[in-house]
Amino acid sequence: MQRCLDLLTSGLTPEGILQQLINGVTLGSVYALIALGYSMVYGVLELINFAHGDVFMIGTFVVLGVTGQFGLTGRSSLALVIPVLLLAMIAAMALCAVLGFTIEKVAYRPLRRAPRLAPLISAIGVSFFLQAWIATYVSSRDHTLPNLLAGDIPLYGDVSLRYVQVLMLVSSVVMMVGLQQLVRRTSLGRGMRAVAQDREAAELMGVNMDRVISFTFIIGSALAGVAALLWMLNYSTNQSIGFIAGLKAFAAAVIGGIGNIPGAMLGGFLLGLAESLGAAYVSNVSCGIFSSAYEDVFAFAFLILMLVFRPSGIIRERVSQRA
Amino acid sequence: MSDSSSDGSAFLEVTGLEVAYGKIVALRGVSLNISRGEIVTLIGANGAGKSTTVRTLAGLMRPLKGRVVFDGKETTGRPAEAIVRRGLCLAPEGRRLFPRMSVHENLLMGAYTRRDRDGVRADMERGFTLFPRLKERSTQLAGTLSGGEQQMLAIARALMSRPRLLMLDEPSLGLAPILVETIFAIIRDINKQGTSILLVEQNARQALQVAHRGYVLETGEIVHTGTGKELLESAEVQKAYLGM
Amino acid sequence: MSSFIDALVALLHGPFGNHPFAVLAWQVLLAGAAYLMVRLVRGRVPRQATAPLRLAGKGASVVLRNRYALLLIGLLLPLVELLTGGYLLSVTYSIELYVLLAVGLNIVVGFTGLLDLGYVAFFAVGAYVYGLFASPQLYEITKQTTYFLVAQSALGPEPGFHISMLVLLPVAGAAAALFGVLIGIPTLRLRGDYLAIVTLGFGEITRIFANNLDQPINITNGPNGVINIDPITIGNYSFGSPQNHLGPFQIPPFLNYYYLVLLLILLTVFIVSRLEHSRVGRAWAAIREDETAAQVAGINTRNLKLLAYASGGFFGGMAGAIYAAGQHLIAPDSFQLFVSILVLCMVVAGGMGSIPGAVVGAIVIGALYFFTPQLLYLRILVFGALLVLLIIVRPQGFLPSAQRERELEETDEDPSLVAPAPGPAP
Repeated sequence: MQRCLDLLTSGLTPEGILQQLINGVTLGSVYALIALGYSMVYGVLELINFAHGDVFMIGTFVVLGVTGQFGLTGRSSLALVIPVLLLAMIAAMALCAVLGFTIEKVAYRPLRRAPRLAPLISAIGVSFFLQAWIATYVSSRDHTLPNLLAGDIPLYGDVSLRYVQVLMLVSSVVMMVGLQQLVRRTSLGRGMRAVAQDREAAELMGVNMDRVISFTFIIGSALAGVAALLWMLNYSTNQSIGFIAGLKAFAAAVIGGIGNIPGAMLGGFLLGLAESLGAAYVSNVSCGIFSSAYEDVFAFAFLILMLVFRPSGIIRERVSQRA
Repeated sequence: MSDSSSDGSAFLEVTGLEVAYGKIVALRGVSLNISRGEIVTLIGANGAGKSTTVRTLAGLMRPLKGRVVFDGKETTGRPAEAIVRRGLCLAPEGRRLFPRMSVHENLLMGAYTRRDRDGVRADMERGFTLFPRLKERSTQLAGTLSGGEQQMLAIARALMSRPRLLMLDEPSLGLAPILVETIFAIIRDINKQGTSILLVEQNARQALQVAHRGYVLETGEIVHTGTGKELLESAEVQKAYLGM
Repeated sequence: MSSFIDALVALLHGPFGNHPFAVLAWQVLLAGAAYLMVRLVRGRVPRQATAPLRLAGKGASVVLRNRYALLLIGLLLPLVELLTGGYLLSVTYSIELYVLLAVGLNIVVGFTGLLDLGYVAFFAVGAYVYGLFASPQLYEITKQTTYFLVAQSALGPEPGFHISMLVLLPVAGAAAALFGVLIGIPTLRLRGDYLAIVTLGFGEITRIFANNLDQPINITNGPNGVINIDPITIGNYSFGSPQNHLGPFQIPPFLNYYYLVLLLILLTVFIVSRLEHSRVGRAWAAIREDETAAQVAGINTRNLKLLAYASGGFFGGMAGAIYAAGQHLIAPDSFQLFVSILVLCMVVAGGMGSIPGAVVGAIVIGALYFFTPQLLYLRILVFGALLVLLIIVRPQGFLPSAQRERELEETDEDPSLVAPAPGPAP
């Protein structure tokens, strides 16, 4: 018992917690970007796009490829790093968008009128195909980028905000606000929402379903491309990263209420925080029974609890889904 | 523009439409036509195939056989979205609004196929003069409107596409009698402003009163046709649909 | 065989070099060409030209639907393999375990229509039940308790538990069935796709626990897995011993296991096909087709769904126990999500809801998978593509159940489900 108390008191310092909060929010911003793709596709098609995480994974490899092509190292000057990172982002966005578009056309569109589970099975097939493709023709090892944007802003005690984290936060928030505007204000965005709310009525209004669905995949996948760049600035990748990152992002989408864009962002931040704090402190809190090896168990358990008890997310909607 | 209609020949011409759900046949060779400027009503009992007919005309279902010609061009089997663009628009049964969009956005959805912003704005004003209630509620979510308001919005939304032929599927369903009167008055108004109307109704009496002509559908077949007045006075129709 | 595989690898790799984009460009070309070929050939080949193919297909279907023919093949196959040296026996035995798994998963996915992506959890539970209670693994834990003395004196001189398979096989099945019910209870209300994700989550959680339960007390031995698991022994006959002889012939261990699993498959198929045609089976089908309607018709959907999980789990658990005995060691890595997907692929390929389909699907997919270990990730790539292709081109599978086939035919003609194709009217 004494040991447990010691663990609890020694581990939890204000500085430590603050640092984990910062880490959690930055991690969460990436989850949020991936979650948007799940959420948008689910909104429009009611399909869990199982392959979305793997589109993100492909994006990380595109980023690796572009930065590798220019031989970036930790000592490269900012004048080189920034344009190359921009280029990497554009390349990842473009390739992911093409990939998302193709996946929908090849693997989901023929199944639009099939029983509900058919496209999900197809999505699983695509997911494994993409993972195996990378493992076969690119690499099956872990990869990281060199530390490109070294340096940080000291905040409090030895807590600091790294430049990379600032970049991650800012870019993901910019992307999310941009998407929100697109969906709220443009005709295409209205078309997407219309298809999500009542597919047949949308068709009667003259909405071209195929185009709206294609655009949904293109936009969601391009966002996964951005997420891929941000991820690579701080974390490592391999061919199966898309599975676990994708599941966590899906959990984020569910937490925020699937199909709900601001909700996906909120869910992403919450999940990132839970993961950071959980991994750092689970051992202290559970008296050493659980270690950070259970990190993914918590993510899954969180997801399961959400799906079972609050499948419509934590935000209450003013109008019921099927009004 | 073809002038095939100005001489009174068919604006919409449907011949021998056959539609089935799986092995269950819903329409067995329905033929009807509508001239420019007419209100035509399609009446019949539950399950007679009224909704199936308009849904097929709108492109939501594909016929096994038959032809649909709208304004001189064949639309059989075209997707719904293309048919709206030609000016044939359906306000479906059950209103089918976008519940989580505002009234304003629902109207914009009605104008989805249009690119002329000024025209859209003008039509929206026209819609608001037709339905002043909608103007008051333009920022409210459609899902929170009352039944009558929802029906008004559904009609206003359908008008936003500037249809040349508007199909209304059971616009009076579930409304209080006083509202039913209003809706029928509005239908007459819309028609006076130049839109042809195909009206599907269970409320046969009122439908026949506003309509120039009517068709009676029974188990997937047209069994009677005539002017509104003729049908109102026909003994068989009275017995079967007017409760006399 | 191996030169064919080499050719396939080379074909997929293409002539443009190793750069991923070169490979990609080639594969896009290849896929485009294949698509064009199919488009061109479709409907233009005279029926006479494909007649032999169709005849062969029909013949195969007749043979494969005939349980006696299948049984005969099953009985004779290992003997043929023995003549060629016997090294294929372990592979055929693995395929057999997957037949068991596929028949079990078919109850959940095929009969009841519940997409379970965590079926591997049942396999793992069965394997760990046998692994823990038929190996020295639990010795360290039990010796600290007073139960130890009792247990040890009852179970003999060897450290740890060494309970017989005859006891553990049903126990492993029952444990997995119970696990199925436990997973089932919270998920009863979930819709199809959410259910899939939740079961996937449970599958992964199971594996992660197996991987980490060496701390703070060592139960599963963590990532290293449970080792020195007892082979199955009946009387004095040890299935795992290489010293068994039948007359002058030496009996390899896998031959023992092969026939044991064959027996188990026969039993399972018998039980499951009885279930399929019983009241329970009809209720499952009703749930699959329309859960609300089933409920209204007075079917206790809750209990029947739990029963589906439990039965699926039972057979998965038994397969797991035999797997553990045959391998002598089990590790969490053997219970990856991919196992669930592979079994699902078998069920889909064979035809969801069809028992002969599940058996044949497992044999075909299992053979493709287990005979090509040199392909590493490439075979997973092929499976991914195959899964997509199958669900699009032949959703009813190789050997569809008669009922499913009828249903699919009907939906084909339903105009409300078939979109009007863009383009000019016919």
